[in-house]
Order: sequence, then C-alpha cells, then structure tokens
Amino acid sequence: MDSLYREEMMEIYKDPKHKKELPNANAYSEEENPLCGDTIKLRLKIKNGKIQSAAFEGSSCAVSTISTEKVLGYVEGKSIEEAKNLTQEKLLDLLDIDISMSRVRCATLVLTALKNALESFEEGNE
Amino acid sequence: MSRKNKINQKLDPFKIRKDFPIMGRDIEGSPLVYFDNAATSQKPKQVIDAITEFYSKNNANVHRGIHTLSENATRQYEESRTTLAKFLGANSPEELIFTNGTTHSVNHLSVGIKNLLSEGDEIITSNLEHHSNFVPWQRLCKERGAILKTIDITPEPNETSSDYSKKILDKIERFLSKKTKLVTISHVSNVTGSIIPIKEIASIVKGSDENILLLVDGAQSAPHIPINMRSLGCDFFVFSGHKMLGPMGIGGLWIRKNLMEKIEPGIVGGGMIEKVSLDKAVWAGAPYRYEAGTPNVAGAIGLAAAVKYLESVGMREINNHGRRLAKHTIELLEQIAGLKIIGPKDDDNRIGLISFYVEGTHPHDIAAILNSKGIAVRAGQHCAMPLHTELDLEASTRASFYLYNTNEEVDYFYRELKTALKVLK
Ligand SMILES: Cc1ncc(COP(=O)(O)O)c(C=O)c1O
Repeated sequence: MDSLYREEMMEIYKDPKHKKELPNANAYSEEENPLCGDTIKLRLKIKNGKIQSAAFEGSSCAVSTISTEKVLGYVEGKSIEEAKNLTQEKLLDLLDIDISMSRVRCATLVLTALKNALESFEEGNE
Repeated sequence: MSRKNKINQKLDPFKIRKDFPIMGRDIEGSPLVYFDNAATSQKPKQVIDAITEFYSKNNANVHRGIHTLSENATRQYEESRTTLAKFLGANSPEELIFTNGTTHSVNHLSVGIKNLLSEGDEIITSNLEHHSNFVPWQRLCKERGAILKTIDITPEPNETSSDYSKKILDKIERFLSKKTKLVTISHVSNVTGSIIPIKEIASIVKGSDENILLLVDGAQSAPHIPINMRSLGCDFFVFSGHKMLGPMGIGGLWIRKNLMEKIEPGIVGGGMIEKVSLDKAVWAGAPYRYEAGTPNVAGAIGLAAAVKYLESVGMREINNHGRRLAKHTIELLEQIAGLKIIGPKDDDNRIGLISFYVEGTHPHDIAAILNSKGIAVRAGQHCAMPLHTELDLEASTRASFYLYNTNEEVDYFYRELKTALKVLK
C-alpha cells in the first residue's frame, strides 16, 4: 500500500492535533480546492513577529490533513519570515510520503492558506 | 469486422476483454480493474488497428487533393460519417457533424444559435448537467441578456427511477414559458447513471411550442443505450467518441435536418465555404459548413470502427450487462454502513454507473487506496459542481462499467473498498 496510508500517517489523519478552535487568533485565511472541494480554515496567533500557535478547521482528504498538520507543527514558534519561506519543495520534504502528481494540490492547499493568512496579517498591521 | 450478429448470445465480457490490449497490464502489481469508463473507455484492437492502418496506408487531407490518397481519405471519412449516422438512427449522413467531442459540440451550438436568442428569452437546463452543457449556456445568456433557468432535479434518497422521471417531467413542464427558446439536458447523468426520459420531455416541450429547441447531451447515453434520432424527439444530440470505444478528439453533433440552415456555424475558416470574396463569405452546405479546418479523419475512422464493434455486441445487450453489474454492485454496497448511493437504486432506467460517498471519508483517499490495488475509479465532483453543492457533498466516488467489466471485478472492488474503509475510518 501507498506509504501515505501506513498506520502512523493514519493516526495523524484521524486525530490531527491542530484541528481545533483558536479563539485569540489574529490571522485568518480560508481556502478551497475546487477540484475536490477540500476546504481549510487556518487561524494563527502571531505575537512579536512570531507564530505562537496555529490551528485549522475544515474537511479534507488524508493528504491535505496530514500536510496541514505537519506544516502547522513546523511553523509554530517560527517567525513570519521563516514561515513565508516555506516552499512547496520543502513542504514535500517535510511530508515524506509518496504522493501522486494529482494530489500535490491537496498537499499545498495549506501553503496557500498560510501565505494568505500571513499577508492579510501584515497588511492589517501596516 | 468478423464479430457480427450474435443477437441471441449473452454478452461475454471475458471474450470481449481479449480484444482490449490494455486489459493485460497491471497497476502497482495488481491486474488493472478499470471502473472509470464514464471518464473515458478503453479501446479494442479493431479501433487501434483502424487508426494505424489509416496513418500507415491512406493518410492525406480530405476534400482537397485530386490524388489517390486524398480520395481514399475522403471516402473513408465519409463512410465513417455514414456508419455513425446509421448508428444514431439519423435520417441522413448530412445531419451528422464531426467535432472534437461533447464539449466542442455544445460550444459550437452555443455560438450557432446566438442569433436566435434575444434579451429576456429563456434557456432551461438542469442542475445535474456536466459543466460542458452548462457553462456555455451560462455565458451565452449573460451575453444576450437572456435567462438561464436551472431546474433542480437533485435525486432524493430512496427515490425510485420512475418517481424520479416523473419529477423531472413535472419540473420541466412548470419551467416552460412563452420565452423559452431552448431546453438542454443530459440523456444519462454522469453522476447517478440514471436515464432521463427524453422522449417524454420532447413531447412536453414540443407540445408547448414546437419551435422550442431541444438539445440532448448524449455523452453518457451513446456509449450505453440504443439511440435513435428518428424517435428521440430532440433537435440536437451531442456525444464523445472516446467514451464509446473510439479515440480521443472525435465526437459528434447531430442537427435535425430542417434546422441545418438556421444554425450558424460556430467555427469558421477553411473547408466550410462555398465562396469567399474580400467582403463576404458564403457557407457551404451541411455538414461541411459546420466542419471548418482539417477534420480528425483518423479519429472518425477509429470511431466508425468502435461503433461497428458496439453494434456487433448489441447496444441493448451492452446496457443489460451494465445494469446487471450495477445491480450486483448496489447489492454489495448497501451492506456497508454509512455508505450512501447517489440517485435511484433500482436497475430499470440506468446504465452501469454508480456514485457513492461514505460518511467520514474523503473520495480521494478511497480512490488512492483502490488504485494501489489496481482499481481505477473516479473521485471528485465529476464536473458536476452544482449537483454536489446541492447534495452538500465535497465530492463522491464513482465506479462506471462497460462491456468488458465482470462480476468478479465488482467482487474484488467490494472487498478492497471494505479494506480501504477500515484503514480510513
Ligand atoms: C454527461 C457528460 N457531458 C459532457 C461530457 C464532456 O465530454 P468531453 O470531455 O468528451 O467533451 C461528459 C464527460 O465527462 C459527460 O459525462
């Protein structure tokens, strides 16, 4: 079986730690992948230029959920600049699962959400 | 073609499979189980050979040269048109225009009938249309200040096919008005597999005003059920060759003969004119006025070979085989808790196509796990976003069958689906 569906990955998928509310968030973005209907609502709590905590809601497939989970784990504690530098390539490294070409878009939905949330945060603070 | 006339014989998928070279391959170590036929069908060697032979022996442009090759190509192209016209039960070959496929045909028409549509006029369509029979009309209506009225024919849970048909007829009747210029609807839904009652729709539409045009999207019907333009009652019929054993990039647009002069060509250029001067052009007669540019000759020849193949098996038998597979699949799927099938479940008015979803799982994951076992299904919205929105679904999984699929494949699919759900839930 595709290594994506191995047990440890399925544990992340079934119980994503970052899937929760974040009441004191100050950056937000909502993205949709029109191909499959996946949606993600991303919330960040940013203080002194650093991402203190990150959370998401929405419904999505395993690739999208696991990718979101890993990206949010990665950006917590990082500066806005560092988070903005997370490229698609780095994300696929971080993910470390075999995904087919058709599902790269599922994996990168969170990246779009992250960039947009950070941008709107910075615009709001200008 | 040697596999003629086996009218009384029940379709034997195992024998048919031998004609399809792709059936021998495996996917990730498992034999291919191809259940994505609604997206495109596989091709028998008869079709592949016909294309190879054209390019190896007769390739030339049509209606142009006086030389032997051009004449051969022209003859084969026109013979293909005749084969297709007969398959569709058209009155004459001139009614059949070769296009790239359904999407191309609908776009062609949406430009071609532009002048028949004025501000405030109405086009009726449904919310289960494929985007290709929806977006062109949406655009045209915007351009002309016309109104696109979309009937909601979302299937209810546990609705029978006959109740479903009645609902559709009822809604169309209520939506017709003095302003209606066109009714455009699928013959078979690519999400539910239900056959839409076109003959009855035609009699309601034409009964209300015989000038209202009726377009039928036959992308999913032409491959699966007997089609006859003389009795269907529509004015336009569009379809794709690649879904009915033919090659990609070829399909058709059938226009009722008496309308041919009224409909403008959607595409203009070479090969479709009588004469051109610096300030005007006169269109050639049908069907050439609708076939600007070099046509897909090899595609037409391949499609004719496909149609001969389908006829040798028999369209009724192909539909019955699809219904048998659907029945078997539905009986199995209904044993899975939390699984819901979209659309009527009886085996009356349908083809071998089933879409479903399972609470708490994403179709992409189901399709990816099935793929790792060699099974190809479609996951997504199947280019029918309005319907999925109405059903409040992000996506669904679709298994669609054709004449080479077997009960054994369905059993295997069912077992692997259950395993996949265990992983995901
Ligand atoms: C009902 C229906 N209409 C139209 C189309 C579009 O066909 P094509 O992509 O061959 O133009 C499809 C194919 O997916 C279909 O299922």
